[in-house]
Amino acid sequence: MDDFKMNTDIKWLQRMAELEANADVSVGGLSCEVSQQPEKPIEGEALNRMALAKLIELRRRTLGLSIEQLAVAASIAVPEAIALELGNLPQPHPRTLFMLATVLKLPSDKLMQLSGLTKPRDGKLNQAAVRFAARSKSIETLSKDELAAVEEFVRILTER
Amino acid sequence: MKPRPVQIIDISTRKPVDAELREVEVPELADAEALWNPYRARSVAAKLRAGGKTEDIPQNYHWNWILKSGELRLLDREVCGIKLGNDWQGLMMTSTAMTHQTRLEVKQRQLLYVKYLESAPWNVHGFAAALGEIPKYGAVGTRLLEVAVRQSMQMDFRGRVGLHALPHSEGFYKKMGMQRLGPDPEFQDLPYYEFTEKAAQSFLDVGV
Repeated sequence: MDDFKMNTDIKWLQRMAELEANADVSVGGLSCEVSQQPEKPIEGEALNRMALAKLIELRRRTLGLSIEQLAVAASIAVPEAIALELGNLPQPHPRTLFMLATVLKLPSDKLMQLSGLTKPRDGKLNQAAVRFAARSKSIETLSKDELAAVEEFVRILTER
Repeated sequence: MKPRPVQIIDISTRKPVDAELREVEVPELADAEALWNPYRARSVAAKLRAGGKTEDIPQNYHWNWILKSGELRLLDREVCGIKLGNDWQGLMMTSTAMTHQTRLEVKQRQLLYVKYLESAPWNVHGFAAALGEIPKYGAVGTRLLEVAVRQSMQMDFRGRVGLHALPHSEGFYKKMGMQRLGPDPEFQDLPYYEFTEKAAQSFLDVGV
């Protein structure tokens, strides 16, 4: 598939460069890989989303941020941040997850998997998400158990 | 694909510079990302700090060719790229799977499908400008599209090429003469474009 020659006409090239100037040329998906979304979330995916919501909340609190501070740092709307922590945002935008991952110092690809936007590569993440969701609960300050749960889940997320 | 010389444009001088077009191996995708990823991240951070809106960020800001490299295990996939010196200036993944057929006519005829295409972020105004820079090299996207068309012709697809453009990229593919077939509900509602045989030949001969 390689017996061809490229155009060597310099005027053509310069003209095409001018047409391409200031243009974006990217082709492909809005995410690295996107799975087909089922019409109804299956039990495992619902649990992953709960784990995602709880992870965002507890990680934010570990870093000493208010929801408003998180929203500003991640350049997302405060209502969106609140909805995410309540688990009321069924399909967050990949850009939102990427920005949150940057602020919360979490791997963005794992957040994409927890949200259901991409498929988990193995069952390990699902198992970890279930354990984490079961161990964490919403309280004003993080208990030792809650802090330990966050740290363990983050450790698993950052494993290669 | 055998390596071959190709020229792109140095934007600061508007003169052609010699580069190399060739197939890209998986470790080389990591080499590309080692430079592209930090540049994209710095640009996005600079734009947001300067009060830029998230919707103005180039839509491929979070791409990662290392993650895309897993697709190369499929026999119908190939990645080629344009290299200048030690740096990759552009990458493109194509698919020759039989499932990719023209949507412009009822008769099922195969085409070459462009799965991913990207010019290095320092070549893209949306990234470079946020860092106070001008893009470095031009016509990278054009050259990669040219490769797709020539490969299509080699495979007797007569230049038929299909791709899903990111919304920010639609203007470029329209200018190149590709026909828009509207948002594709089976692919994230991204706009789908195709080169007809005639438009593909025109693109090669005279540009647009």
